[in-house]
Amino acid sequence: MLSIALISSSMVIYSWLKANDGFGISDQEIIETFNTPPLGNSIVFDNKGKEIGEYFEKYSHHISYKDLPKSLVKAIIAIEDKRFFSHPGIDVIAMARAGIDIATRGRYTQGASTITQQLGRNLFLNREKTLIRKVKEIILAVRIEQLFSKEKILELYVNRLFLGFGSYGIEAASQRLFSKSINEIGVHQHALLAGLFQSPTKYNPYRYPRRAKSRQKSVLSAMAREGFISSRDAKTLIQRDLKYISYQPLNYKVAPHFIDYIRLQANKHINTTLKGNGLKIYTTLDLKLQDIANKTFESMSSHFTHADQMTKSANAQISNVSKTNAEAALLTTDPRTGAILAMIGGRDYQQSQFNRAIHSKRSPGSGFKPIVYSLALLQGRKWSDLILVSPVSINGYKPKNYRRNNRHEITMLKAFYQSINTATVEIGSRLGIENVINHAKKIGIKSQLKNEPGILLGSSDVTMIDIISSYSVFANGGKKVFPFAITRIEDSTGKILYQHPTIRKQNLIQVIPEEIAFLTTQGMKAVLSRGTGASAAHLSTIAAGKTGTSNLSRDNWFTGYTSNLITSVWVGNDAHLPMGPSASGGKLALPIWDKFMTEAIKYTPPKTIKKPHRITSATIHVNYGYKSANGAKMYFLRNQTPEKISSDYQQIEEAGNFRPIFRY
Amino acid sequence: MTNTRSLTLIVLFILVAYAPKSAAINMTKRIDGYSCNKDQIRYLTLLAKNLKNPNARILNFCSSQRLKPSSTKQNQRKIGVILPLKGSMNAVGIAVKNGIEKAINKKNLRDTIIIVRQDNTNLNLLDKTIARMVLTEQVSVLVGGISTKTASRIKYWSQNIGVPSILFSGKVSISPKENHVFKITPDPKDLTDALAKEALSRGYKTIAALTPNNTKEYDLVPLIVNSFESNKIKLVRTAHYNPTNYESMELAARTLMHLKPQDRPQELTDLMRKKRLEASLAKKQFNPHMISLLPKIDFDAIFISDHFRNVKYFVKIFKYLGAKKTPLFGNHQWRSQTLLKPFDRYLNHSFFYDFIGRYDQLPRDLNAPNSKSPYFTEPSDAQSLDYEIMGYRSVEIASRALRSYYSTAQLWKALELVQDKKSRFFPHGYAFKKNHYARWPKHIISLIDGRPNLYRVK
Repeated sequence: MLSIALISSSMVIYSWLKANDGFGISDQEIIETFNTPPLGNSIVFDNKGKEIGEYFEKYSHHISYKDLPKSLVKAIIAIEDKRFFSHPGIDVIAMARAGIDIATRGRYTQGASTITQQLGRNLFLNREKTLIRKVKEIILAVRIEQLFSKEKILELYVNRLFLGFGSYGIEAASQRLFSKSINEIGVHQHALLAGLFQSPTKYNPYRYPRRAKSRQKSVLSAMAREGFISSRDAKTLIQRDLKYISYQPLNYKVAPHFIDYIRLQANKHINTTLKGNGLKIYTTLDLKLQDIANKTFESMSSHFTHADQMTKSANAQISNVSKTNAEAALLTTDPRTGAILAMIGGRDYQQSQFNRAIHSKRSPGSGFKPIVYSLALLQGRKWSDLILVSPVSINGYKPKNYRRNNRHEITMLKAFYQSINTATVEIGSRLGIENVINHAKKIGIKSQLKNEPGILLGSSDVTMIDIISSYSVFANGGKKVFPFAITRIEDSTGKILYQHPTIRKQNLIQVIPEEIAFLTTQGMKAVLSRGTGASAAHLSTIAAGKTGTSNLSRDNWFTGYTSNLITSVWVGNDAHLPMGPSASGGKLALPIWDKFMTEAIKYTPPKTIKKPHRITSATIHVNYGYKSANGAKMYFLRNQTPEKISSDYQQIEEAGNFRPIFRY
Repeated sequence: MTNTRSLTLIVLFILVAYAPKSAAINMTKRIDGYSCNKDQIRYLTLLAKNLKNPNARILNFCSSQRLKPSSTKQNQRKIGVILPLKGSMNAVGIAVKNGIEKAINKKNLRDTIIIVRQDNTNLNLLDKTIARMVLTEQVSVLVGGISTKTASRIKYWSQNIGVPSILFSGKVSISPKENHVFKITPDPKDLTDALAKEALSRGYKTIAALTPNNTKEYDLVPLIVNSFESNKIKLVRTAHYNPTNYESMELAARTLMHLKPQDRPQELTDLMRKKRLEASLAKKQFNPHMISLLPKIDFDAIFISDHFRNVKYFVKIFKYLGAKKTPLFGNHQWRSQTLLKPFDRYLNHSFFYDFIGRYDQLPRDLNAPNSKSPYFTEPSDAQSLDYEIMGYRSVEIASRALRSYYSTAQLWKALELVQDKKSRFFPHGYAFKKNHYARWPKHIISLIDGRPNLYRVK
């Protein structure tokens, strides 16, 4: 009786409201709300168009009615609104039963709200339990039913309602619970999902698996009751195990730090909020290379453990283990374009989201030396130039060499590939620190560099992007490229909001002559073939690179490149702690670089870096810098090839004396 | 007269040749006073002990002592050369031999016979070589003795048997009584005198010296003191070092400049305190290793008795220690293009001594094959040229002495009297000084703005 009265009064109110534009919700508004699908997640794609990340306010994946599995529809209908396809928006019978329940027991045992009512409530009303709200809900349901088909109503119902763990809609919930689309899961799983509509929190399978299971049973029983499935099938389905996949967001799966980086970059390019705006963000990430990078890191757990132990030993006074944990980062770009191909910002994104490949500013140590030596080559020095190794003092700055071996002569090439600090400081101080800083800026270092002698040995903190940018110049024939990650951003309608300019080699800025870039590359090849990077000598025919170790081995780098890949690896720790005397770029970063590049070049075979016309080569003694059949191949500008065929220093070194007329 | 003497000699020769060995002394007594004195015969007997027919050979030797060296066919301008042509010093021996060959190829020396034998540090074998040369091959002059050991042995026999010798060793000394012994090497005193004069002309009053300790070059120190003091210049400090060890070199430089920790302890403590405070105020890390006292230089110049390579390292050390530019000077071992390329301004106005002037004005028939500059040649050539010139000069002087009208016994006088009048390389006047050291040109090479400036010192 109460229900009939409620419906009757609702009908009267409905007629009045319809004439007076409802209760603030017009038909037009209802139509717009229904017809305007939520913009959905903004999707990030790799360089081949595969989804690698997404940004959202509400995690959702729209699915149209026609794509809904029949068993899912049946499950929902069975448990939520069995007369959905026959009632006009409200289920009078259900309401009457609820009225009786309230009258006789003081409460109702079965819900009376139809799917249409639930939808209307969710889209337009609040959840307060008042008579007015209930009346409004009934009226709204009737109006919706008048405006839309049952299929449309059900489509919206399954897509718009919150189903727990951040997901809106059935497809999103399926992805999160089973890591599969609703079309890929079974009826027993459909039943579980259908059970969530009533109370996603109460039946959260992660938190309350028993309740969730019980709810699933109820759904399957309801389906059997309604004849959608047989009782036997229901029993079988109830017995089937429900395996939930530990939810891992897509953003975490492939390149979590890169996805974070894209968010920052996209926000610089467009003014629109990324979350829930349905944008399509096309990036430069190469999934295969990223996969190689991820696997490289995974396979080197013992290497990292060793690094952890090194740090612990070097910092025995520190009890906080997390502080002494070694961290690492990797960044790979295409030196010809600057496109970022792979990125790892830390060993474990779950533990630390800080992106060390982008935001960390660290001392590059000897990784800065190619910048100094390239300027020296630019200023007319050559690889065969002789350097007397001994301590130096520049304005009180007294750098030390890794090995204490003074009073011997070496060529500039050997000083470079053996990373002799005193030699670099001498060369750099002759060039002028100011000039070195300007040169560094010119070829791609954006971080502020300190005007002090220590800069020559990389004492000024830089980012990995800085190092990659500057080395790209050497790899790219002296032309400057800027690392970038986003190629295009489209809105939900396909309109291009941002497009990265097409990289054409002829349009790039030539910051150093091609010959100097080539000569610097040859120096860095020698690092691999016979220098501090010799443990990766097998790559020296196609790759070039440089180790870097900062003061007390706090930062350990290796950055190297082929014609089409440049990769920088850093190993250190977040607390800037020394990593011990045996730590170095060659020992900690180079093995990672080696492993990654060895695999990467199988995927993207490099080309030989072309020798410019104005370059010639000669076999030169690596210690004394004269032409020698037993020497190493060195490259020179055509007019700079050494002519000497012997060395005064070697003469003395071998004879033990010079013009010793008073000696004998 | 001559026939009578010849007859007597033949008779004596037959007697000596067929006499039993035990009678050698008696037999030599019989020639005593004829041409060799007692001491000579005693030493000749010792020297000849391993030769066949020693008495006959001694007799033959003594009989020729009063003859002009070129008067008999056998004694015809024979020069015996003993050189290390094998072994560790063979490069020097070969260089000397090359010089000798070049001298002989000169027209006027082609009638001189050169007998070259291997030097030997085994003195018994060396004695045999000398005995064979003097008593069998009848050479008039001995040339050789590159190492101190062999030079001393040659000197010993030369003086005691009365055969002049010209030695190459730079270290063996000659006493005024050793009139048969000559040295072809430059006199180190020439070096120190020339440097002292140059230093005086530059107004230096006090100097310090850095000398290597493994080559005994620091034997020069007494000479430096002598030469400089005679020019009223005082050697205030000397530091020795191991020239192959950087740390030793740095320590020597610190010694000169009062930079050893024990030299100025209070000053160092005060400086440390001050710098620590400054770092603390500036909130910077204090690194005591970066703190050092400034050098205290209480002399006008530094003499470095070492080669150009170590000079370059010393310049680096001085700069590393923060020493203000201090004039440096040194010996012939400084001479290398490498000292100037690249030129360090710290060396500007530094100077060194050399007995060789321009490489394009060497004695005739000698040249610096790879010299691209009149002032410098390749170091390998410089090494050999020194000895090549000495070899050349030794034979040239000996040959000229042998042609003069002196008896063999008085040949040393002829050597003393050899003179140069037209040489463009050697100083005009006697070839040997009174102390029997060869006279060599003296040059000072000053380094000005990266270029050598050479001038001859009288």
